[in-house]
Amino acid sequence: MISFESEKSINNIYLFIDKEGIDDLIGYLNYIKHNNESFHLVLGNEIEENPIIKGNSVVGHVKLIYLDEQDK
Amino acid sequence: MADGEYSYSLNANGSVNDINGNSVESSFTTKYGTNINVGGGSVFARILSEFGGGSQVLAIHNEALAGSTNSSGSTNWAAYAAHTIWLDKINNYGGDMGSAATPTLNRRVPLGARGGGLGNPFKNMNLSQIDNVFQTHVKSGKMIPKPGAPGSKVYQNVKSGYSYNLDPGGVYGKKVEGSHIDVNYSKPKPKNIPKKKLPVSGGF
Repeated sequence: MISFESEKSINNIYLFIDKEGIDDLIGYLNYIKHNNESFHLVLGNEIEENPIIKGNSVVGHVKLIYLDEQDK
Repeated sequence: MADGEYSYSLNANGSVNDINGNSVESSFTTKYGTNINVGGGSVFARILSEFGGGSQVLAIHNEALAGSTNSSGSTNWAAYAAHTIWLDKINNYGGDMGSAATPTLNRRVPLGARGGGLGNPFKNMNLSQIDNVFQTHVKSGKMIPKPGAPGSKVYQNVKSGYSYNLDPGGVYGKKVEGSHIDVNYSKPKPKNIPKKKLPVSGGF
């Protein structure tokens, strides 16, 4: 489980993540690192559709992009 | 293959290959005595109606053909190929672009005989053309749109849960990423294969 959430009136993002979600996220991060790639986290696929905190808005899409030293 | 099992794959230019990847002549006769003329949509109606299990594939052919006909009445064969592959996948494998299934129009090839990858049926299409294909699947209820980054579009296959990110790419710092489609696997995801990236010919 991976849930990115934001509070409506505050510029703040929560990442709620369980054990399996941590393993998944590490896998995604290692993938983009080892392949110099990007990876999409999609609502209902990689990202939970319902917020953990009632009233929060879920972030529907997150793109992880690896930047090596030459890309910065 | 067992007796009576044939498989032909359609190329984007309308030509046909047999299961071994060999180009099929413009006209040939099957073991059942049916004359096949390659290069037009009707060839598949005849091929598919000849063999068992052809009714579903014939429906795929008709649906793909309807979705690939230009306003002038001509057929966009690249779009037809993409339609056909997708409809085949959606109807039979849940739209699994990342599976080892072969893009075949024949349902009689044993699963064990299918190997290798699907390749990239969209390599000669831009994101707008591909988006049109996906929209037809949204209208038919086979796919649903999902939230995406600004300038991109995301669709999810209802049956399989696979998601398809139509990503125009961009410039991130000094990193330049071209237009592509990312295919994300549904849960449970296959280990060590987090996604499939399919380069396309252009953006929206």
